[in-house]
Parts: sequence; structure tokens; C-alpha cells
Amino acid sequence: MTSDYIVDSDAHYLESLPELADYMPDKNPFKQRFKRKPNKMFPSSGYPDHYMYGRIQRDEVGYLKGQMIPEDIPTAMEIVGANAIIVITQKMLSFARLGGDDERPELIANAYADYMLDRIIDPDEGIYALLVLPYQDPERAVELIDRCGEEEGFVGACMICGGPEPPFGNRKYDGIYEACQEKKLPLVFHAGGASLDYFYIKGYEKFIETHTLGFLWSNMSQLVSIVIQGVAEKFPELKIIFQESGILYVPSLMARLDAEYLKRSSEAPILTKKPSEYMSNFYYGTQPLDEPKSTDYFQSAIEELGGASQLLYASDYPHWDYDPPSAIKSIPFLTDEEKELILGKNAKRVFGI
Amino acid sequence: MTEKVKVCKEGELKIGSRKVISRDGEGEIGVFNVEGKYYAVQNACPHRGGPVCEGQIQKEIKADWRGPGNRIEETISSIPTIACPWHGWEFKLENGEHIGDSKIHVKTYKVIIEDKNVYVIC
Repeated sequence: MTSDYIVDSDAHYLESLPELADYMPDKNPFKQRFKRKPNKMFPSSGYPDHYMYGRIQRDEVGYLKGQMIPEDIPTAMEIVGANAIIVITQKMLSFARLGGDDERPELIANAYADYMLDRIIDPDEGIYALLVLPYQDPERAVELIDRCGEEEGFVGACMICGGPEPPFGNRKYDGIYEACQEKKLPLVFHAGGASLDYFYIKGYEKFIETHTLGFLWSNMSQLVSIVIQGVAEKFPELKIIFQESGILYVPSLMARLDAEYLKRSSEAPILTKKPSEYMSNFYYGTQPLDEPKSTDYFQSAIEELGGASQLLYASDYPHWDYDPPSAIKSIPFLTDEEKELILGKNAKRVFGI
Repeated sequence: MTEKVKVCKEGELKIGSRKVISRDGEGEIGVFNVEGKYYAVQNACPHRGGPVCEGQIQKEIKADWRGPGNRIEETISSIPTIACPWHGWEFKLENGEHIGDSKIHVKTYKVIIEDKNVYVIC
């Protein structure tokens, strides 16, 4: 005999953090934080409220509302004071979270390329974009380069550094490098958010800890692979750019790689010069600009990585840690000519703007 | 001013063996017989001063890359090298050049055979 009496043993109630906050002790900081309506279930070190529970605001564009619109780009240019802007994806920064799914990266990257061409890119207005590549399937990435790499307004291609397995020095990505070199598309390696999770898993408690190392690790790990596996030796005309980990890590990594290389040269026989000599021909986005206490040290670091000719001003707007151009203009030891290079002339040359 | 320093009688230094001699002003010099050819190297690594002449002798590994998508094949060349046992800095026995940086050298010496003796020219 059956009964109409049904028990659902697992259903969910979506509680509101601001409402729960009413039940928290008055002086606990989370009472205040959760009252600000964080857009995450549990903001944490690996899945944070980047905007610090309302402290950092970007109300002038739609970013914090969950979507930007084409009209936000001129607004961003006005806020930054940029005559030209190179836009890259937000969503695909987290590619690595997709794990072994190589269907969505291809799908999203192609849709993104068409969307950008249709709605965003406007060279007459100084609006350019990077072609974000679904590196998970290199053959499909090459197809995307073939399809869109020569469209006006795509001034380069982009690979997200967070999480590629194997790392980008592996020969499986050779086709991408070859295609970019042939089409004279500079290739930007951009730090990616998904690798931040690895630090969260390791037990960091605050995003300040995670973010300090996450993006840095993301770029450093790929830079080591690309240099030691000889990508610059195999594709000497390919312009290589690393973005969004600041710049001070570069001379440090140069010194470390050179020291390793001189002790273990037989492990990298394809190299014909020291790692630092390849790296000083790469380009580096300046944001988020680290500013050491010692000006002399800062100056030496820039000289060490190749000088002002290798630096590209980047705002990262509207992200929480964006740099306005004053970050470059206020560097005391740079000449006016060097500031002009970093703020615009290098990018015009590298990206052919 | 160069000087001719006797190392040993020809034939004493067998293939695959080495002998370290001392010379005022030069310190120790290692003399090697590698496959019948003599080499001489100062026993002081330019890195940290390690006893490079006590190091292992092998052939330099070269890269052979046949284009995009291919693995970088590593092959053993015919160029003999010696690696400092302290940190692995590796030098070509022929000219003392570091295999990873041609600007770095360990000092090498010419070896000659005269009157059935092996000499190093310092």
C-alpha cells in the first residue's frame, strides 16, 4: 500500500547574509561586512569580495552589477584618460576552473571574438581587443587565429596563465606560437584568477594573502616554462608580453633562472643564451605597479628587466587594484621620454596601433 | 712569458685518465687524456673556485628541433666537457667555454708532446 505522505530529505533554503548578520554579535567585523550584501556565498581568500565589502567602488561602469555594456568602454577610457584601450575578457580569466572541459573554452572564445568584433572593437575610437585563445585545444585555438587574427582591431592574442596543464612551454602549444608569429600577432600571457584557488586550498585565510601570490605565481610559472623550453628560440619573431603581476618579480626571476641555468645548462640545450637575455626582450604590463621603498632599487630593477622600452602601461580598470597613468607619471627617475614610451609609444609599436 | 711544464712521459697518461699538477702562479692544472686527445684546465671553477678538474667528463648535449609540434630531441655531441663537482658548471675542454654562456671560461692551456714527453704551456 502506498502513502501520499512524502518526505523530501534534501531541499535548500537560500539564506541572506545581510539578514543573518542581524543575528551576529554587534562588534564582530563580519556583521558589518555581511550587511554590505556581498555577492558571494562565503567571501573567502580564494573566492573573495574583491571590492572589500563596499569599500572600493566602480559604480561608473556596470562591472559590479555583473555585466558591462559597450558604452562602458568610452567611460573607462575617460576615467583612465586613455586615447586607446586594449580590452580583454573577464570571464575567461577563470578558464582553469573548467578543468578538463575543453568544449566551453572553445565555444566561449569564439563567441567572445565575434561579440567583440560586433559590439566593442572600434579602431576609429581607439578601442581594440585581444583574441583570447582556447589553449585547452591548441588546434581549435589556431583555427580561431586563422578565422579572426587578421580582423582589424584584434591587435594581439592572449593566453590566460592560470592553470594550463602542461605549462605553456610544452610543444603542444607550438601551433599557436607559429600562427601568432606568422600573423605578426603579439601574444599576451595574462595572469589568471583561477590559480588563486590553489592558494585558498592551501589554507590562506584572507584574499590579501591569496592575491599577493596568486597572480604572481600564475605568471612566473608560465614564464619559467616558456623560457626554459625555448619558445623564444623556436619562434624568434614572436612578441611575448606578460601582464598583471607587477614588474619587480621579473629581475628576481631573471637572476634565479640564470643561476639555475648556469648550473644545469645541459637540461636546456635549446637555449643559446641565458634566460635573462630572452626575458629582457619580452614586454611587461606595469600593473599592479609595485613601488619599493628604495628608488635606486626600483630604477635598477627596471634597467635589469630591459629598461623602459619593455614596459607597457596597463590600468586593469575596472578591477579593484587598477593603476591610473599617474602611477607611471610619478616615477621620479624616469625621463619624460621614458614615461612617454611606457604610457603609449611602446604599445603603439608592439601592437601596431 | 710562457713556460713549458712537463706533465709526464707520453703513454703514462692513459686514455680516460687525468693528472693534476701544480704550478706557481697558476695553482693546480688538470691534464686529461680524452679518447687520445690531451686537454689542460686550471683547477679553479670561475663560479665559486671549486675543483673543476675533479669533475665528471662527458659529451655536451645538443638540441635538435625539427619544427613546430616536435619534441626538442636531445643528442650527445662529440664535444667533451667537464662539470665542476660543486655546482655543475660545465665547460668545453677544448677552449674552457661554459656550455651555457660563452662569456664565461675556465682557464685552459695548450698541451704539446715533445721528445716523448707531455708538456703544458703555461
